[in-house]
Amino acid sequence: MLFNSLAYLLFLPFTAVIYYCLPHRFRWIFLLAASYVFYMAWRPELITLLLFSTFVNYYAARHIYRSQDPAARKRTLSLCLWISFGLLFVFKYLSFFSQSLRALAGWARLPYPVPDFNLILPMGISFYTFQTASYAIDVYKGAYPAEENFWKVSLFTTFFPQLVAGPIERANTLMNQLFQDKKPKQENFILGGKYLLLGFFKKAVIADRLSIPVNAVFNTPQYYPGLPSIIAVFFFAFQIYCDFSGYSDIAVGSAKLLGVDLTQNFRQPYFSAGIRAFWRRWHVSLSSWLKDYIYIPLGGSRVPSLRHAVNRMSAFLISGLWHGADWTFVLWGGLHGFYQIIEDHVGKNVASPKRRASQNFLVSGFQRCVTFGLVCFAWIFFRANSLGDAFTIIRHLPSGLGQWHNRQYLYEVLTGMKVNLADILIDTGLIFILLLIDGTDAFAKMERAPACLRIGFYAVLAVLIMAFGVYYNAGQFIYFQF
Amino acid sequence: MLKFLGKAGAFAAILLACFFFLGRAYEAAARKNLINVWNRRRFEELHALPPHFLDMVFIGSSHSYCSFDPEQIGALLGVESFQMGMPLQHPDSSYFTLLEVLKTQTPSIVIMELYWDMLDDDFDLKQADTLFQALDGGALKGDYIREVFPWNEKIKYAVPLIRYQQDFWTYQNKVLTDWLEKTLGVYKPDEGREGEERYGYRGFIYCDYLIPESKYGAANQFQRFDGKKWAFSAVQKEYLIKMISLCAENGARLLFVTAPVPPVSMEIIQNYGEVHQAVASFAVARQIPYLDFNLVNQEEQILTNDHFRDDAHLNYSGAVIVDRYLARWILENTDGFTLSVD
Repeated sequence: MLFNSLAYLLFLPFTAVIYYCLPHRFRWIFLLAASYVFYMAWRPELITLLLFSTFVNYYAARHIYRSQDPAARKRTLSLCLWISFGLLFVFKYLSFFSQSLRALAGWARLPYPVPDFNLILPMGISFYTFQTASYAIDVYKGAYPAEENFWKVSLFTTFFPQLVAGPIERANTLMNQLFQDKKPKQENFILGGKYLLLGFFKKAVIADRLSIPVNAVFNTPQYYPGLPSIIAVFFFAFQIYCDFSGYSDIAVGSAKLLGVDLTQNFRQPYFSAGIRAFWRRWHVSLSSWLKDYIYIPLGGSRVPSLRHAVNRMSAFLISGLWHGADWTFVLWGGLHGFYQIIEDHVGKNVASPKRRASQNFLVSGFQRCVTFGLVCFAWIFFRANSLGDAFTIIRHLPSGLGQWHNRQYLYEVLTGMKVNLADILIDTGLIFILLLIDGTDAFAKMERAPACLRIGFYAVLAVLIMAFGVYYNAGQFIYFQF
Repeated sequence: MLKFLGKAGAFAAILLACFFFLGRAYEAAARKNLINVWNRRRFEELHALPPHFLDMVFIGSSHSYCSFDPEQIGALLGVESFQMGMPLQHPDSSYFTLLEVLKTQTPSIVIMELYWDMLDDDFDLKQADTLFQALDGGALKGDYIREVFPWNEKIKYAVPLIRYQQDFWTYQNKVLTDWLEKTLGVYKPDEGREGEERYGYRGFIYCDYLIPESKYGAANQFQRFDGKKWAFSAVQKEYLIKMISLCAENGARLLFVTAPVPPVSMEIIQNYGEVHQAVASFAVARQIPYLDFNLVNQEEQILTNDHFRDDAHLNYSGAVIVDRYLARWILENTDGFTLSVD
């Protein structure tokens, strides 16, 4: 079930009402059933994979928790992770690796008699694999006790607001909340509603509108040299941000209606004054997962500098591969790893709050612009359909620079991107509105305003959703494919 | 609690006021857009015909009204035919269009044009709206909404802010670009198109444009189209089956035809065979004769890029060739006709 569908708009309040009407002991069971309905609305048979992945981690965690033998505990965890990530590999990466080997064999003129693997990518597999794995690892590390009831672990994995695209939650933050006795609270409904409004604004109004010119350019980059490519890259930066943070806002808002607090996945990332700072604000739940379960176990920063660089690069290459089974994603991750290694060496204090406080507005503004530029450059690899397309875009970026003052050139560019000129102007205006209202403390700031302003603001947001939202041929959430 | 209810009431009041006034503004702008005049004229001419006059009806998308000319088919086969194709017409709309035709006419042959881009959507509002403009209200529109619209589309259709959004912005864009062109002296690049496009004989659209240069590259609509990713919509299949039953009940022979796209588009399209196979096996399973001009052209090269007005539609010179071929094929698949012109 898609968040941006009318079905979800009915499903969510219905679920919330029934949830609060039920006696406490039945609530989590109902929530589990609702989550299964939510997931099975797409392809019912794929629930078996989700159940299997949950069972493996549930069983392993229980075994690890009960066992006193360190070697046995380690063996169990290893087996559990091999199975969990093995499933992820089969469904997400097998085809990619096979195709890469086929290309390599072709290059070396060797036979490659392996057939194509055309497996369906189960929705949210990367998210729930990471979440269930973190549960088993946390139990192994003693950070959380194993849950005895399989269905409760299952609810932790399938809780519908965060099932298909996160935030990737940990057992110690989510598990307990799911089983607490919660009273319906007015402030939860109001805050949840605000998050839902903001999420739908980002997704239906900005992300879906921007996707049209972005798709036009990225699908045939050879025909859009220069300014159209620059506009498309800039638009894609906001498309993916609004798509994913919009999803996260809807997830946070939906969970809030049920009295559950989810992790804030985004904290105005495009205002970051450095790449490290960017990753503290972008997809926070994945960044912290990679830090806790990959970067730190590898030694983190408390190792010689070369090893530190290798650790950083490893975490980001994995992050790239997590996002998609293609070399474009690997290169995107590698580029971010490279940015950070450079930043480690040349700008150690670039993003430190002390240093920032002493900097004047111009310097910090410059740093933010450079960071945004670097992030946008990396997005080219993320969005391009192939490495060849990405390099075509990069090669063509400077084309037509000398004509930017020519109004006829600008008119032809802005009317030639498969959308109306009016749409391009509206999209740009909406991005500015987003930059003004977005942010984790946006609601807090709004609370200080007079009541009439607050009410007007949220009403305008709702009207913008209806008046500018894309309701025909609207896209899925980009992160659903991960 | 009272305070909260007051705020919620104020929120709802602002929201409803905005919905009402903006909805009216959207609706008003949408009315200023050009409606599909040719489609309306098609229906007006159909309704003006004497009852039981037509022997043959063409139904389908723009590919149909750009390819199959009742005047030529009439000269070749000596039949009275009518072109009821419509922009983007999906089988669901084809079914309702045929219902409208059958109210007064009893054609013995129905030629249903099948364009794959109309067969993979479960629902398309734009083409439904085009049909509604021609129907001008009436019971058929009500039936269409009740039967074809999924429940969520019914809700969207009832909200003017959503329903008229695209029309409103198309109109505003026209106002904006006209103003810019007038004030700044800028202009849209000329595609070098010469010729005319006009309503022809009994619903056929005459056009002698040549395919523009841009359609050989980025602007070709089939860039990145891959037959492997194409899927026959179950909903549209259902309406094709309904068409088969409707024709059988009314004693009409149904034939399926796919109109050609230019060779340059066929070179861009990947795995066309998958699309053809899906449609052909559907037709074979129901014993409906099926002619795919794209395969014909690949095998016999009867058409070049110069026979097309754009990346998907024939111009008149192409329609002449296709209609002669079609007339022969109709003869092979039906009884009671002779070819008047060799």
